[in-house]
Amino acid sequence: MTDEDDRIRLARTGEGSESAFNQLLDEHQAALRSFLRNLLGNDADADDVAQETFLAAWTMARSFAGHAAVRTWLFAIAWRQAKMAQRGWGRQRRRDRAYAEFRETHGPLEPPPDDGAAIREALAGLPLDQRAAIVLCLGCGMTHTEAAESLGAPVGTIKSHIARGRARLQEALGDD
Amino acid sequence: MDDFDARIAAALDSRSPPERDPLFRLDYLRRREERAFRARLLWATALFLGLALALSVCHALFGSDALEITVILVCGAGAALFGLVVIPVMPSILARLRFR
Repeated sequence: MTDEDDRIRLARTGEGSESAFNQLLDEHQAALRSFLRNLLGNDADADDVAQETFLAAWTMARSFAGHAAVRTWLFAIAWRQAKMAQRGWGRQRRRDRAYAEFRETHGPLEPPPDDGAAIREALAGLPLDQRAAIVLCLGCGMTHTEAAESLGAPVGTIKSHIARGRARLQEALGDD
Repeated sequence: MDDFDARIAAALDSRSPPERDPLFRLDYLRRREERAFRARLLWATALFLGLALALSVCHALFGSDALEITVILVCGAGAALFGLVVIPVMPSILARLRFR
């Protein structure tokens, strides 16, 4: 589906079309949930935020300004919802702190047998902004510009987040 | 994209949900219905309380002569509450029960 198709569907959603919105949801749910799962580290929390994202999109469909692609707009909503949810949860922050302390005392992790699990575990230790930039660009295949629009940050900041996050992942995995 | 980036991409991809997921859409629709229902209930309750307050004031001002009007208005408010909350969700309830 092209962005033009998405825009038509979003416009019809703004006029109250359920079927148009269902098509949008079916088209983007997998990528959006994948982004949130990798960002938040918990599938149930991620799906919860994804549903809140689609609820917000349904409500705001009429106010879509059209400056960015619909996909980017959806990810921007998801990013805001994820940050709000994180502020509410608090436990993630505690987990991040505990993980950072663990990393300081234990040094690089022994690589477990599953490379993917090790990477995801190391990713969970990154600050949220860096994690989001890495997931969008390396996981969802977004360009730096698209990721910048989704995260509401300058392109330079996104590049910096990716470079720093990547370096920290390599360090955590003992991959220097 | 170098080898390390490819490893990250593969690790991230392994958490992807299915491309088509009807359960997710159903959960979303259920949540939207619940939220809309709660909003309608809130409005209806506010309307009912507003009317009840207005009637109490009328009753206090005009005494027991206003009792008949009070009863009629309370019934009217009850009917409005029913209409506001229940009637909008009836088609979807009937559709789910396959009565339509």
